[in-house]
Amino acid sequence: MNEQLIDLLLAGIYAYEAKLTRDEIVEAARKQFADGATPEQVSQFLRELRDAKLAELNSIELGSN
Amino acid sequence: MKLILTLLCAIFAALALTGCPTQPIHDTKPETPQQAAKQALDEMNAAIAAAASTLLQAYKDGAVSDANLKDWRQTLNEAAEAADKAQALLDVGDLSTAQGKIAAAQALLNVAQKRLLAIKKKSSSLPEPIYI
Repeated sequence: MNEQLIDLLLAGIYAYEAKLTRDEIVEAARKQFADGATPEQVSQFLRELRDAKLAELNSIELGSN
Repeated sequence: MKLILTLLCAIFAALALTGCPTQPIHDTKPETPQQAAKQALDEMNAAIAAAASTLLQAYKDGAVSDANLKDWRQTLNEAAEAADKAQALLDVGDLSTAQGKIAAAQALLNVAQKRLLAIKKKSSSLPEPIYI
């Protein structure tokens, strides 16, 4: 029972962390707007950020854990 | 102790999934369907980046197995590919096909986000993802 609860708690923490990370990204994008960036520039920023995160994720060699 | 853990679980899950309002990237309401589609793509790209970042951290923490990492990151890559195809379609003015691609990307992203809820602690054997 305790193990299940801890698993649930951990899952909730990671889900919440994803939300916090998204909030940080949104804040960065909104700051760009505030600094005068065009919608196209902000879209480009978000695509590049996404690709950078995916590249980092894809660079993990399986078996390193 | 159990009560405290249960309450924490409920709070985190509720905040993560529904309870805590998320600020949109765009303050302006879209005036055209094209603008709406572009704004949806921005939100999606932000969400994919966040999910990738969290999955990366969970793997570094030892909370995600190699098998699940391989599977889950593939889903995120597919969501990104669908988003890029939607962007390319929007660029050439094919709104209806782009909207279909956006829906496909969103569905993949939803799967990826829900899989974060299947992360278990390091010592556990990982089950199949839980879909809710």
